[in-house]
Amino acid sequence: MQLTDWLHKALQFEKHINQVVIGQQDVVRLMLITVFARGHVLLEGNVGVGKTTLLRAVAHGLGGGYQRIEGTIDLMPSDLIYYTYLDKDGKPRVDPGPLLHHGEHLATFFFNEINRARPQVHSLLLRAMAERSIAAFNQDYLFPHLQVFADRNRVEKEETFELPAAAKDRFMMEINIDVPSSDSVLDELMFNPRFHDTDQLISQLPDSGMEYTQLNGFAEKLQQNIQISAKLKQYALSLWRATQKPQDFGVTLSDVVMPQLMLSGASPRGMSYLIRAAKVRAWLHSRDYVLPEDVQAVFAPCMGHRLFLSPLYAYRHEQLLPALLTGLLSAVAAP
Amino acid sequence: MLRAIRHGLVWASLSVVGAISLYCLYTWHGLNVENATIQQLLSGQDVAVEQVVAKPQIRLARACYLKQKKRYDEALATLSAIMAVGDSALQAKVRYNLGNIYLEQAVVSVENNDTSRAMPLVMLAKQAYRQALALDSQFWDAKYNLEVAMRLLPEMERLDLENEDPKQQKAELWTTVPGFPRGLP
Amino acid sequence: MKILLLFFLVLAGCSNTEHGAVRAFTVHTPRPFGYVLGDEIPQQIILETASDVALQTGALPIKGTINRWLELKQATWEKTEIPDGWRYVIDLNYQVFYVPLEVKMLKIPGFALQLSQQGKISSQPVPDWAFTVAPLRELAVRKDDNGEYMRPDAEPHQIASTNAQIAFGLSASLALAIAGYLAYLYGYFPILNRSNVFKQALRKISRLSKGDIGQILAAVHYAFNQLNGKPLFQVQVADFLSRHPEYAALKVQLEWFFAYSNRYHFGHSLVVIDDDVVRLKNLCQHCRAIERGSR
Repeated sequence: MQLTDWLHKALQFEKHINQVVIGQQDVVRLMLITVFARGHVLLEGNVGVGKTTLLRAVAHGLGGGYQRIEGTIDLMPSDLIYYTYLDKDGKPRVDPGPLLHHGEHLATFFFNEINRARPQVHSLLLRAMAERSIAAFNQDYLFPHLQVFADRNRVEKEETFELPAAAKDRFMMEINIDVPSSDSVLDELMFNPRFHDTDQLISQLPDSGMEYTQLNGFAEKLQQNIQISAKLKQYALSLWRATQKPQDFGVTLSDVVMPQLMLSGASPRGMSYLIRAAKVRAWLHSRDYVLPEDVQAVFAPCMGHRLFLSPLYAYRHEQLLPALLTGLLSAVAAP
Repeated sequence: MLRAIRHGLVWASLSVVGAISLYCLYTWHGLNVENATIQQLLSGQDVAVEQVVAKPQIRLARACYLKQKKRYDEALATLSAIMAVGDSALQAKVRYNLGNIYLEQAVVSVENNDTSRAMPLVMLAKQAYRQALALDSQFWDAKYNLEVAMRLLPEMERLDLENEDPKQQKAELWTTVPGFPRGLP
Repeated sequence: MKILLLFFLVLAGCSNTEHGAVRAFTVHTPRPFGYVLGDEIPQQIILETASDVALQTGALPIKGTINRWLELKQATWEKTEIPDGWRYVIDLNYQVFYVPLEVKMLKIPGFALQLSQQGKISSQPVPDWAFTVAPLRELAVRKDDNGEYMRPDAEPHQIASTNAQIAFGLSASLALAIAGYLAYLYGYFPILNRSNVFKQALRKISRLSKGDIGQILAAVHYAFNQLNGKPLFQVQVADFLSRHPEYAALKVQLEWFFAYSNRYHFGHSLVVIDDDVVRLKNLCQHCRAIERGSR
């Protein structure tokens, strides 16, 4: 299980996914990073931008069970665990629900429109994410290889339950998936019949050669082998401080009284996720040490959903947050 | 090379503008000193004034001071030196003050029953007031004092006597003698 | 001149000229009452004549004393062409010096306008104008310490120093601006001035050697960060060069520098050799040369 062997496989895997989901190189790269950093992902993007295709492609390449569930307002926690029905003999039957269906082989779980589900469902999912286990039928079920992807519907606000801060914090990244902007990609997507049948598209993907059962072990090894210098620790620490008090680092945004801006900065867990992700990126760039640019590349997706603005500025969240993230990165010097 | 030339140019313009600025400051200070002098003279303290160099305003103030101290001859000399200096408003003032000097002396003479001395003084005063009014027809103090002088020595209109009504004639005859009509006529 | 309420004293034209020499004749005068000693009274005479008629302007009243109490301060006339004739506007400005004991009616004496038409002389009379003057003081004598009461002396105004103040303000601010520009040229504004960042860096690293490689790198990084306006990282070098094309010649050295710095700061322990320090100092000197504009 050599790092370089896996690197080759990983890049190959990435290449294949990019052929299936075209025009989303950045998203695929971030996705790959979360796979090797073993982090859960919040997806954000409009309907029909290829989220499901992307997830299915990843799940196909890595193997393991893939399940998805749609968040609805009447979804109950038990719906994730089992469902009951009358069989052909007219007897009531209880079958395992989406979470338990694959047992411990569940590797990719996609929760669509998570903010439509009730908080009870959120909390069940949180436990599954944090501990990779749930209790059901008087026993604990373990999902050692589970990676959760959740999609937030940002278009409709009615009958939705905003994820609590604690829930958001458990996701490693929030990845924005935009409609590809290049004309050639759009042209390809619209008129090439190859992209019309997703099932066939996915089944054509070659095996990545990386088994989902090995991912945990590899991720551990990767984290141990990629080095972090004292200077980079200092840099990461400064970044963290800057998220708490941007004004101390000279970050200014238009029409904002900076000391009043932040409600809370990044959490320690967020910072540790950031470093994990940065290490994976360094590995993907065939380095065995982390550079500031690795941290910068994963900073926005890792931090965006963890920074909370004070209520005064919350309504300008969408506009201020990207500016704040850019401001933070350009305010902190590394060496 | 270019840099050196540019620096030289900037330094040169800085010194030129700085010099101009200092000169302006000096002028301003000079004006303040002069205004202080005027104030001092008007409040009754003597300040030696360079007769030739000083601004007409200062000399006018000094004339006021001299008249206040009843040094009429010096006041007259000071005023006649600035008769043709300054703008018309200032010249009107100069002539008015000149008239005041003459009139004040005339009044004293009349009080002392020195009519022969009073007559030419009143004449001079009237002339000065008329000149002041010619320069500034809205000079109300000059109008008033000219009327004072006229009452002191009414003008005879010998040629037009036939046009005046007899009553007026009589009144004029009566007031031709310099002096003040005590009470209503 | 303050134009008072103009009363129109319109006298129908053609009074004594059978040939219609005078087409129109108007005398504009102000109110005929309420004057005091020294007041000015304007009078405007408008005369329209046939084209072969000429006004004998030499016969107009001339500036100077009219009588004992009346002075003509100003007498001007203006001739303009109108269809089939001439229009004369004569402006007279009288000043009254009469001192009445009570309100009294006076007359500004009239005169005649001389007109010549084909060698013949005719005249157009301007009538007397009557008005009343009033005294300024009562008949009884008011007394003060000097006997007869009279108005005090006129005091000189303060000499206006506004012009001097404005001139001083302008020149002083101009001088300050030039001084500020000089200070900028000489690099006294470290924040504004990014044209001496490498000078400072050079000064800092000139005494440093292999052992202080961290400080050397930090100084050079600081210089680039200052120049860039924000921290400059390896990935942004291309972008930086596009914004500061004068440094494009140093592309290779810059990339070496950032790679070297990254290896030193974030990679495994790097063996620093003297050559690296020399290269760093060379880079800094090159940058300084570019910054000074001599390269």
